[in-house]
Parts: sequence; C-alpha cells; structure tokens
Amino acid sequence: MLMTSCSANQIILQSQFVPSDASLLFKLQENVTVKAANARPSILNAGTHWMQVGFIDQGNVYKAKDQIVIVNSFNVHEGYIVVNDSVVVGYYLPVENTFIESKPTQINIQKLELSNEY
Amino acid sequence: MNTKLSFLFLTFSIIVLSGCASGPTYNEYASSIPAMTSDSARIYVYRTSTLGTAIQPKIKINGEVVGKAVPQGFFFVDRPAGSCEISASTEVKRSLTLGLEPGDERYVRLEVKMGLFAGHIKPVLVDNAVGKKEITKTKYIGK
Repeated sequence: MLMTSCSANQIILQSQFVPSDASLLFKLQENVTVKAANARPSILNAGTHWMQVGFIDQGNVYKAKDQIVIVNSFNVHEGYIVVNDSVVVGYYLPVENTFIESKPTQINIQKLELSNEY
Repeated sequence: MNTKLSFLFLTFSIIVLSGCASGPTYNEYASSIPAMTSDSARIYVYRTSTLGTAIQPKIKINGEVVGKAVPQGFFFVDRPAGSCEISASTEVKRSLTLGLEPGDERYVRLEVKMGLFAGHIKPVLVDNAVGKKEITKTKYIGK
C-alpha cells in the first residue's frame, strides 16, 4: 500500500479494489454521519439501500442505490463507503481508486433478499 | 435621496440581471429535451445563484468545453459510461469526479465560492431529487 498524499490531516491511500462476485443488498437502519478531515460531513440516510460492490484492504465497499455520497472538500469526488466490522472507516473513490480515511463510526445495516424489498 | 437610491438599485439590478440566463425556463424547455440513447448517461449542469454574476467560466468534461457557468442557467450533455471529471477554472481549477453508468441521469450544481482575487465555481454532485427541484428555477442556455 502506498501513501500518495496527506494534506493536513486527510489520509488518502491508493487502493486495490476487488469487485464482489455477487452483489449483496443492504438497508441502512439509522442515519449515519461520516466525517473525513478537511471535508464536509456526509449524512447517510436511514432507509437507503446499499449494494456491496467489492472490497479493499480497509474493508467492504458499499455503493448507495438511492442517495448520492460525495467527499466534499476543495474538490468534490463521488464516493462509496468502506465498512469494516460494522464500522464506517472511510470512503472509496472509484474514479481515483483511492481510500480516504474517516472518523470511525458505527453503522447498522440489514441484509436484504434481492427479490424481496428492492 | 429616494431618487438616488432608486437609481442605484436600478443600476445594480441591470448589472446583475444582464449577466443571467435568458432562454426558456426548464419547465418550458423540458418537453424539447430528447431521450438519451441506451448506452449513454446524461449530466445536467446548472447554476441557481446570481452571486458573482461576472464570474462565468467555461465548464469542461474530461478537458472538453461543454458549456458555461451562466447564473440561473442550465445545460445538459450526454456522455458514454465511464469516469468523468467536470471542472471550472477561474484563478484556480475546481473539479468533480464521478462515475457514469448507461442510463444514469446526474445533476451537478455549480456553486459560487470566494477566492483570493476572483470567485470560484465549484461543481457539486447532488441527489437527483434535489437537482430535479432546483433546476426548475433555471433557464436553458444551450451548449
């Protein structure tokens, strides 16, 4: 793993993204606020649906199906969230293929049957 | 005194409004917007704010000029699926990176930010529900 940049306290790491074989769908049970250094907080809304699209060294990568997630700092990047052991640990930026660390935050997601609720 | 104030207000209004979009409103133009092809994605770019009217940089997608940041104006572009960088440059470049999938419809709001010598235009990706609501306050400015 190569540290590519560290402006102020924002930790950005190159990632090796591995896509999931099968996409799993989850529903967020409660609002979650994700905060990376030097960026505005992202609020993940309760009731939104999240597809596990792959994983990186830092954890599983989830993409929202019904909300936009961005890392909003000087520039803006679309992001997926990275969860490790029920804790959001950061964002995965699919265009840049990098990981941005966030303040660790507990998350409560429920696995759904694909044909069931969505 | 009142006459002077009215004159100043009128002059200010003319300066502000003359830099704003003057085409059909989104609602007037919506029925003319063509359907996109199944293998492409559509990006709506709009600016609601009249703040910093004189600041109207070109908007680029992956380095190609696709429009201009006209206050209260919008335009749209269709792009193939893949990675995309939307940028605006004044004294500095501000950018937004996002991924596009076939059939995607994305909304990008152009926000005006303070700069050292000139304002900056910052492209921000917004939820479709927010974008669909905000874009109705703008006018089509063409490509």
